[in-house]
Amino acid sequence: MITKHILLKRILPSILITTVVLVFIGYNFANKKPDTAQQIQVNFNLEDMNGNQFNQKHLEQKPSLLFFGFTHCPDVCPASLQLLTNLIEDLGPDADKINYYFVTADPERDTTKILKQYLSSFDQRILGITGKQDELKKLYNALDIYIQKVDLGKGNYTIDHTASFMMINKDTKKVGTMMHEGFSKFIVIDNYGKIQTPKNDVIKNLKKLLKL
Amino acid sequence: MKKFFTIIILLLFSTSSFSSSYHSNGHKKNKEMDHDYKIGKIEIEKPYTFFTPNGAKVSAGYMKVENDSNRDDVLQSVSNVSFADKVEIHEMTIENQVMKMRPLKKGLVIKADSEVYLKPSGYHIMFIGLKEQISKGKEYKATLNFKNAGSVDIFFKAVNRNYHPDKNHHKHH
Repeated sequence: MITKHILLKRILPSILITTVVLVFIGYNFANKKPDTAQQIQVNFNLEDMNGNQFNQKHLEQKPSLLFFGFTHCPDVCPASLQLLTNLIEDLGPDADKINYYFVTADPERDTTKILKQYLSSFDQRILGITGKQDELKKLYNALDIYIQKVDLGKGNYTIDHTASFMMINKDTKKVGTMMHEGFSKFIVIDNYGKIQTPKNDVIKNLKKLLKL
Repeated sequence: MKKFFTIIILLLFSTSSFSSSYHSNGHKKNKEMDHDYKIGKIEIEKPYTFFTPNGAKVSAGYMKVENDSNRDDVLQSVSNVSFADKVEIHEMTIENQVMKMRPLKKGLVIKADSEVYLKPSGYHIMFIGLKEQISKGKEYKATLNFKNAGSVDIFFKAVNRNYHPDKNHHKHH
């Protein structure tokens, strides 16, 4: 009888308090995801296809979608540019709230002139970027873009490259990536993994992540 | 009475335009069926290639290859292409968001009683050093050389990027 009394009066409240504290910590842990996005602070000096400078300052103007590819790419690059063109169309008036960049992975062959000609087949808001190899590398590294030239013999080469779009918000933080799924669809991946929504609503997720 | 004639004329006109549109659809369908090829036990379905962006130096061709034979076959090479300097058979993969593309030097194996799709983000015929742009309404000839079945001439149909072979006039929505 005495032991039961002690149990109720002393141990039970402490158990209750501990439980409440643990639930509270757990709740906070689950809901407050740490901000893992890193701010891009790179002193790169590149050139856009119109011959204008392209540097960090331009990334600070608006949220950006960047794709890294090359014009000697037969499949994933033109497909991505077409999907981006479709997406820009679907964004409607919101499309102008984002800057779109096609950054070359192949500065040897992709001159400003070639980029301008190539990109004239897609939405006119997609801006081609090229420049010196070392300057491009700064941007690749800042965004974790994998670029590897692969020799195919007889002077031919191809380039292995990250084939997803990088999503940068106005604070120049990488907030996610966007890539193909299946034949003609994009999926959005934030810093914690693939975003699953009932319809994989790319536009909705894009607007949310870029805070449009 | 005048009204009656007008109706008759309108009716005649609408039926004739209906039948002509039906005819053109039927014709299109036949053409679509003509777009398949056969050599021995190998069947090639709907070869297509995308319109190229302005100034593009490369492009890719796609199709379905079916092997109805009870032994494996190999698409060893593609030849007789007049619109490009060079042709290769490629495999493309995307792993950890990185795209890699490699020539299949020993060719593409089509196992017995099975089919292989050459499609975006997978296998493709790569045309290197384009001499002309791939453009609307044109067809591009090539010869596929199989190890067992032999060689067959095919035509790649030029289509826009939103095309899907299973859904004609596929839109991006």
